[in-house]
Amino acid sequence: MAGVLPPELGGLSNLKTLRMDENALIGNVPSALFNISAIEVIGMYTNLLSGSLPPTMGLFMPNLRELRLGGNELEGTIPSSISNASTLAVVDLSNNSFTGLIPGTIGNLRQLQVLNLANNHLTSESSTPQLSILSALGNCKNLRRIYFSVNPLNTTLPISFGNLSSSLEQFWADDCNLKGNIPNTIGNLSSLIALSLANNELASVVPTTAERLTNLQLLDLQGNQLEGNITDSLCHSDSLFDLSLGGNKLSGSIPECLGNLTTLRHLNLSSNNFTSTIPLSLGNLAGILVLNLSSNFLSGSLPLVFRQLMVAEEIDLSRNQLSGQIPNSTWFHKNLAYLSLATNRLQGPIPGSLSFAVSLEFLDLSHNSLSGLIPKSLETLLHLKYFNVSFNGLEGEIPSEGPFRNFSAQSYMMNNGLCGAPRLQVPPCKTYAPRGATVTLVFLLELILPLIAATMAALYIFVWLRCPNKNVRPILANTRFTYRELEQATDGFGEGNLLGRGSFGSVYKGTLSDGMIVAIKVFDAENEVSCRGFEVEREVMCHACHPNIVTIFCSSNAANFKALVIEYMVNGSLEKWLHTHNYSLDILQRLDIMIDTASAVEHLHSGSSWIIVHGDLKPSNILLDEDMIARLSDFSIAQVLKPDGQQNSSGPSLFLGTIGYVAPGNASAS
Amino acid sequence: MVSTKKDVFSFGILLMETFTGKKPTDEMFGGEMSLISWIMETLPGEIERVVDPCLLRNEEEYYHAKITCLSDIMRLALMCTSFSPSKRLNMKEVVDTLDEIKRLFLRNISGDNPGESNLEELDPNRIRNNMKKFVKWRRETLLPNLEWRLPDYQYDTNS
Repeated sequence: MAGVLPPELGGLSNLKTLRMDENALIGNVPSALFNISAIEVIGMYTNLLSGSLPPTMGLFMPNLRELRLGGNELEGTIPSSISNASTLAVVDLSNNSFTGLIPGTIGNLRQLQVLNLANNHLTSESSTPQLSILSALGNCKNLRRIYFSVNPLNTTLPISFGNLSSSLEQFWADDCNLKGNIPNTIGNLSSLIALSLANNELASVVPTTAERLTNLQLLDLQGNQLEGNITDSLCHSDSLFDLSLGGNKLSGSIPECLGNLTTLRHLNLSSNNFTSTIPLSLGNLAGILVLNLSSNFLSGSLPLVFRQLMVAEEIDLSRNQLSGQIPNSTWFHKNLAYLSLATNRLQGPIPGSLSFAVSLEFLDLSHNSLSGLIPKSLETLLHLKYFNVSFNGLEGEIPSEGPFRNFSAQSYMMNNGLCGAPRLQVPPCKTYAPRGATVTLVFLLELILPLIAATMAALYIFVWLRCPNKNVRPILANTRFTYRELEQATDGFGEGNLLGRGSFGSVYKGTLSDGMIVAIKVFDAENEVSCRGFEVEREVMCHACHPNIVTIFCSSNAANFKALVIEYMVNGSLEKWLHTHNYSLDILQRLDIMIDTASAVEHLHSGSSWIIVHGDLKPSNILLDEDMIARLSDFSIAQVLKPDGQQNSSGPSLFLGTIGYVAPGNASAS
Repeated sequence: MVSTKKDVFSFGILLMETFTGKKPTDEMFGGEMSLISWIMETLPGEIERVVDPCLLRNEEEYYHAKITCLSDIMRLALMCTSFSPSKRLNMKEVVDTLDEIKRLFLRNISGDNPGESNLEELDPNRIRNNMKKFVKWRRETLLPNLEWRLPDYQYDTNS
């Protein structure tokens, strides 16, 4: 509906409800409308109405309950006569251009529940230094929501703030030029669910009485000048989901007890003067989506427990004094889209496991002391739009595929050893870029050893085990094992090291000469079905990089020795934990194991260029690492499909899964 | 035709085994009775009969929260093990639902509310809708609504 409202509307003397919300009405609100004594609801929000409200508004509307004129172009003052409409429960004049004072007479509206004056040009009386309207509103015992946001109130909060209705659920006064303290009486507002005083000039400490606000879900005090420590008083809410204290002058430690706020989704403590380490308890915030601790003076290392932040989308720890290495392992999860660790004192390599964060769009590791290569596995981060590793000590070839096609020289400047394309303003890479002594040695051995091996063939069987995917595990990416090494690691594949026997072969525990423990799955090379199982499992494990899937290190595909070298899982299988006397798991452990497993299966099902059906999910194939994190294993009967449902060359498996776990219909299908 | 729904079925069985402690091949099953039908008969309301007794050992501790959580898990498991593959959930839905079940459980044990569940009765035709509603409902219960961020026009005046 467009156009001007006819003044004749005022002649509808029995009209009770007029709703014309969200149209294109222009011109004035006819003043005759405010003379209809029967009217109960006037709703015209989100139109293009202009002009001002009549100074007598309210005098002739004894039944008006709702006045919704938000989102128009109304100007002038809010008539103080509004208080005569004594049955008003909802007043929405937000998003207009009203000027002048908020009339104190609004406090006479005893039935008022919602007062929304946000986003106007309202001011407060300059004669009193306090927001006196809050004292007046103390009379409105049913008030549930107050919105003053984005008005130049330019005043202080009175002590009588605490006298507002005990049923007040929301109070919004962000961007209001508020000064002075947050009154201690705020603790009286025990029904508060949301409190925002953001972007003002409040300069006190956070009142300890805030601990009485146990129903708070949102507390936004960012962009003020709050100082002192944050005390445990903020840790008492049962349902806090957004805590924003960024951009203040808070100091001291980040309290451990913040880890008790397990309902938190957003935590912003950025741009303060916090000096502690990052509390390990923050690892308990399993539902956190956004964690911002940037621009403080936090020290210590990156907490390994952050790997429990499985759904986090944004983690910003930049501009602190964090040291140590970036954890490898399972720190990076699929939902993580924004990660900044820039401007810290981090050392060591960039972990290849960053590629687990498949949704990553923003990655800033600049201004640290990182060394080593930029892992080629990051080429798989297809959504990466911003990448910055400048000002580090990185070396080697800059990856060139995937998102790396789009990054410019700025991403790489001030590293001493990077090489790559000329447009990146780095020297070109030599055919064999120096990667440190160990790698060069491996390279030389690769050339020389086969020659020696040829001469010794009669004495030893040498089997070069090649890494199928160098990106899987950077630590071992260049490692080669000989058959003899593996033989020694397993006591000659002895019974004592046998972890289990499956339909396709045996799994052994092996201790390598450097002390590292691995599992070695040896397939029966004589058996055709077993060989196919080997091929499939190797293919799947090389494709499927996921924190809940057992990592493969190397494989051997020699004619007489087919084996996979994979991670050793110290806690054995779920089968053991469920069905062995003396082992037990509580409900939450079981739930976590199921979530881990489901995540792994989902990953297999959702590949863009392949879909993998595991085909043999059962407790004995779910392994548990040292942290009891579940890791899916045994892909020997998996099926690799293209997304259009076509099977790949590996063909259907001859083995149909395990009785009891196989879906009905599958057994008869082949 | 191999399908991902085959894994979903096995995962449902895995869920059942993990929380009942009974293998699908347990000697008590056979003939008319299977792990699935055994669980199906106890829903709703008698979940205590099938879950692993270890999980309810300290009966008074978070009892309601545990029962709610376990009922939801069993319902989810049944939704994974429909006879017809097209009626099974997909793994994305399974992961989302498990996440929500966990979050609600954590919330309930922090106050031990009498656990609320919103998974309605188990009609295979309504499973999908239920699941969507369920995920949405759980999200709304746990994620306080974001209406505050938006222009607030839909006031409830009858509090």
